[in-house]
Amino acid sequence: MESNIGFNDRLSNLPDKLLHRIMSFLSVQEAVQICMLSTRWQHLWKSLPCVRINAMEFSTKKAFINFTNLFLLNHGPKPLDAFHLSITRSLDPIDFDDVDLWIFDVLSMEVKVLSIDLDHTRDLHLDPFIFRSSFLKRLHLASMNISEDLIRQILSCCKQLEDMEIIHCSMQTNNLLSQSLRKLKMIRTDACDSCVGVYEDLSIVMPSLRFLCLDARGCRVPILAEVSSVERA
Amino acid sequence: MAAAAAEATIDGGGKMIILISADGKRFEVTEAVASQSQLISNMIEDDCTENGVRLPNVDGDILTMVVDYCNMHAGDAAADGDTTKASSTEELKKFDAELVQALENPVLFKLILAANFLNIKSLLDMTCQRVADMMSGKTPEQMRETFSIENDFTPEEEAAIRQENAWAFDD
Repeated sequence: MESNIGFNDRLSNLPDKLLHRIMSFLSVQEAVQICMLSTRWQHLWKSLPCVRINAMEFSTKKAFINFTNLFLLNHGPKPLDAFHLSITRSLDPIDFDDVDLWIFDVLSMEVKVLSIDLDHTRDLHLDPFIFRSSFLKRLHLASMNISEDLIRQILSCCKQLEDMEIIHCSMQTNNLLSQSLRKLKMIRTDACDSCVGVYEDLSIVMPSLRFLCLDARGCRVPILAEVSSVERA
Repeated sequence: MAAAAAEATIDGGGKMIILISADGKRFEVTEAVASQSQLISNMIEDDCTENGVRLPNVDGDILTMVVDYCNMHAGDAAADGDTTKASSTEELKKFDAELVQALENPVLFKLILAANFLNIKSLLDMTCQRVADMMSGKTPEQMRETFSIENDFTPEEEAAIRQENAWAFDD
């Protein structure tokens, strides 16, 4: 290595966009910690466009909650493009209020892609009324209970929502109505009691839908109304 | 090396186009190989590759690596192509692993810039991942050493930043 430190620093000379791409391959904690490197790196994490926070990467529940709170508080002012949140059952029970506030925060940061995996954490139900956005385009919900209010609120108050995936969730509703949704994917592969006949009497009314993928064991074909434009099912 | 690799796929992807590096080196590749670059793919669609494609910010040695990479990966892109020609997954993994391991400062960063300019997502991800792997698990001081980054903070500033961001250090 040459002694002229700084002179050969080609990494720091890369544009923000490429440094953000590199940072996206680090854990979110490491991505913030590199603020210590130099002034070039000090504030880079605050404009990270795609953020993935996984509770598994933290040693304690307290560290996870504290980190997520402060990360969202200090991120900005640029909007967030994508936010992925994974909770894990192995941590102590997490307060709903925390999760609801985070989702509320990222939706107000104009997030376009949102992914939430609650790992079937017991008694964790998202508050339907936080879901209101004119920016959200893609939503991925995994391993959670979805109440009728929640799905209705999402489909009616996220006006730009085009692509939704519901994976391993139990859902208490028969009616899915959306004007904007173009792509819907619902998968239940685990054979639990609550998913027997999970799509029975399910009715999908989505005039913009182009792609539909339903997969569950032993279920009846749902009723499709006003989805005449679907190309692949 | 690049020329030999290009010849190997000559009959696999139809029309040939010429890529010209900043230092004037010429590379003849099939359209199928070249269109892994979104930039060149768009140029092919717009029919403006007739007189060769000049790449004023990619050096010949870097373009050699890019062309080698694209030749190896041409099988991925052409889904309906001749599968016997396409490199096996195993071979590809080995090729990628060797390429990435051999990359060091400053070639690594030139390759990142080239992959970004040419818009080859898989190569860009692979090279960015390599840098992230070189950073991961290191202390700030070790990272500065690895990448020749100058610490332009005063000790007081450094302490203040550490304090301000204490929440990000899970300890």
